[in-house]
Amino acid sequence: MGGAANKSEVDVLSSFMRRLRPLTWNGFGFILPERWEVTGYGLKPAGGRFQFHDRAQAMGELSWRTLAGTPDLPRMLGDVLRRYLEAEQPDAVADFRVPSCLRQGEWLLAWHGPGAPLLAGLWKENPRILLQWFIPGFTPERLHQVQGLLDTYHPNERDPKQWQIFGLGLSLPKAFTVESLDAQSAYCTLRLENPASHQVVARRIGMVAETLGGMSIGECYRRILNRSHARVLAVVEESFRGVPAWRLDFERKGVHRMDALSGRWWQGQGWMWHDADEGRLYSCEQCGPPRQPRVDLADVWR
Amino acid sequence: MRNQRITVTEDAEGIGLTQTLHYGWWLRPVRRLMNLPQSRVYRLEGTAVAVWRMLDDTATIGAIVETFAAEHRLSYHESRAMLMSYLRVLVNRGVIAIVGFEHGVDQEAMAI
Repeated sequence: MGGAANKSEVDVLSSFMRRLRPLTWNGFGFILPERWEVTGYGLKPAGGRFQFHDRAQAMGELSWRTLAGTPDLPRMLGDVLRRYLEAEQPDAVADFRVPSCLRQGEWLLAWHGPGAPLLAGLWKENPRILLQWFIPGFTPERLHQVQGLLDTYHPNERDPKQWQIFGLGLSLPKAFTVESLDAQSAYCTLRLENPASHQVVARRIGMVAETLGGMSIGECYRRILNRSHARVLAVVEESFRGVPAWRLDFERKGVHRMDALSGRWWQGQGWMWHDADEGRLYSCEQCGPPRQPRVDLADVWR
Repeated sequence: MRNQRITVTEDAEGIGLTQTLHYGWWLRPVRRLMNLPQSRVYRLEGTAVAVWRMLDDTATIGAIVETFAAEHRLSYHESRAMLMSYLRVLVNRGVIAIVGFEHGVDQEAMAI
């Protein structure tokens, strides 16, 4: 009996960890290997990067940037390897001519030898974006693992666009872009916005009992929205995608064009629910100028 | 590893940690005059109590992080980020010390 309990506990944990594996961002998507976690990120308009660790060590870094011209990918990867060797293994630079290369689908992999990093690059014409993986410490096993990772690559350019990270998942029209990503321990917020300032915010909150501290989920959500300068108008207990949830109608001061000057309030709506299997609170809300078409939050959530 | 000079008292609501304060020789004569406290008390409740119990002078940070992650259904690095920021606070207040044990090193000798 105890064994069955342990098994179900493992199942719950693995289902929770499964949710952390998809990483889908602006133009690309991967399924991360088990135990890999995003431990760092930098987001800029023309590019960005994600860092990954398993429990013990750094596993790699994925970076992307938009370029005006078409890059010479083999030469670019060779230059990165050469610069790395010059800095870290000066003795090995003399032996370095051309890196070992391997083509896997659209990806080009390059490496020099044990200890030096393994690089993978992909150039996409539309949109003009260069994707690069930097994997520290080449070994044949690491190469095999990275090949598995690259097999999971899928473009993410179609409408609606997918956004998946830290267990959050949204599927939004292409016009929405990331406004901010805030990842704290057991509390992640992903904020996307379209050019008309229509905002969709997804949250994922862990340590539910400690977070709630005896209050209801509705009250917790009200406080979160109040902290983000919203005025909550109604709190209703309903269901969202078939699970019990709290719906909050709120308003927030407009931040776009004349609305910002006149202090006009924009209407918003949000949902918060508890995923008991995962032990997480999730919320998804939207707020925007009047007459802006709203998205269906039930469809948006992944 | 816990500060061996801290007095621990437990009750139904949590744990109290009393730390005797030591002043430099130049401050001792005026300590009473300035009404400086002789001790500082920290109160741990809820999750902090659970973390304190895990700090049993033998557990590694990795093991504590793993246990905390499993108990609260957090990923390893979520748990690590949360615990490290909390442990840093405890270290800064002199409640615990993080030590690296080597083979053959007497743990008693490493007490604060």
